Amino acid sequence: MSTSSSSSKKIVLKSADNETFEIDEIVALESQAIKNMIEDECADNVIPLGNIDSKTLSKIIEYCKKHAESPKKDDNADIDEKAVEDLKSFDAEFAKVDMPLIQDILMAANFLNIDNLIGLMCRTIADRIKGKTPEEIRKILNINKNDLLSPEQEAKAREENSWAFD
Amino acid sequence: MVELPQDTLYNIFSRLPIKSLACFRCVCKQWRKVINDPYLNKIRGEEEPIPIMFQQFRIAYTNILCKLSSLAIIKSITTVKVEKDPIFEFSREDLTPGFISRLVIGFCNGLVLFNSKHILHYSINYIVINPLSKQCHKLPRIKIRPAARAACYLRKSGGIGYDDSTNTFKIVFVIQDEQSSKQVDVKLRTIVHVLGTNTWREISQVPSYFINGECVFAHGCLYWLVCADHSSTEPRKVVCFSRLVTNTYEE
Repeated sequence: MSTSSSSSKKIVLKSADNETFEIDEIVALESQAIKNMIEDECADNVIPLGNIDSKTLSKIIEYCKKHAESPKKDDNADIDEKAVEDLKSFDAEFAKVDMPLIQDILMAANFLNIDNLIGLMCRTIADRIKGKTPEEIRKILNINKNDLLSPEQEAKAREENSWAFD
Repeated sequence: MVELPQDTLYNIFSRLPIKSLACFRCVCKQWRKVINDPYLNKIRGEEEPIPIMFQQFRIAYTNILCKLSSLAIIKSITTVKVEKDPIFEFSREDLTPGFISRLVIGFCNGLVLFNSKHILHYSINYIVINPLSKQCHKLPRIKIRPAARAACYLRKSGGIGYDDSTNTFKIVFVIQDEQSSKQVDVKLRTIVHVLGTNTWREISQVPSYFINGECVFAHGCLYWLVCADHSSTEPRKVVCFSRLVTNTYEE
């Protein structure tokens, strides 16, 4: 909470569409990938992220800022419950975006190796597809048409799993 | 929109109930592959155990129909209700009417190993069922030495486990099918079957004395509770285990 802005080191991230984001190093350290780069001293002043667009990147920075500010679980055994609740409701609000953005965030979080964010996005996707039919899933997640089962295979799979379809 | 990479699919699927997974097997080939992967069973682990009830009915002289039904837990843990349709039915052979033997030999990551045909019929048969994919694997017969058949003498013990180095399920049995006059000279065989193959492989190492009873699978090993000396009245205390990866015993 008390990181003074004057003393903290800044990191600049550059998105695929050439937008730059200046953030505190502590925020960037939420990403294990960036943390490794900094520790190995192979991070320049500007870190280019050629596969993440600015819309996705700004969401990710929003997430990392919030999580970097919050007291970590292992810091203190009796962390204030309000902070935990606050973080939970932040996560819930954060995940209220459309499916394409969720998937973009998930891919970027995977690349940047932000464990909590990967978990949050996977949980969100799981919650959204639970109870849906295969047709709905294909639409929601834009499943590759070339990867579909043949009509015979699909009929067989449906028959074998008929108990799951009511 | 880009396609989700395979490792995130494992992450997502590990958070879904078994019913959704069964339904999602026909979404596309990639999903089916991931859902059928034994590794997914492993990472789902004990996150969401579904209570399953096992019933059997005799339908013919030799065949027994087995039903697995899921149970819905109502409010408290002690009240359970059987959901009306069984989730899975399979038949097992049994040629000795009225003979009661242990049916469920072991289970691991959602697979159940069942006893099928009884020894009196010259071979031992087992089946492995997967209630999720509705697969019923009949394991190849285990042949028994003729002497053991004649004398109706046979002791066996085994179980099922998961080998994460090869991502396969393995079934291991220790068999004594030759009776020895001397107590110290027990002639044992250890046989291993990799689920999906069609043979049992005999491995060179055998435990130093017969192991019996149930075994438990944990941390990549099958564990038996054994007693070193048959005549001893001491409580059983020695733990013997077979490492699935290296196929060896340790004590």
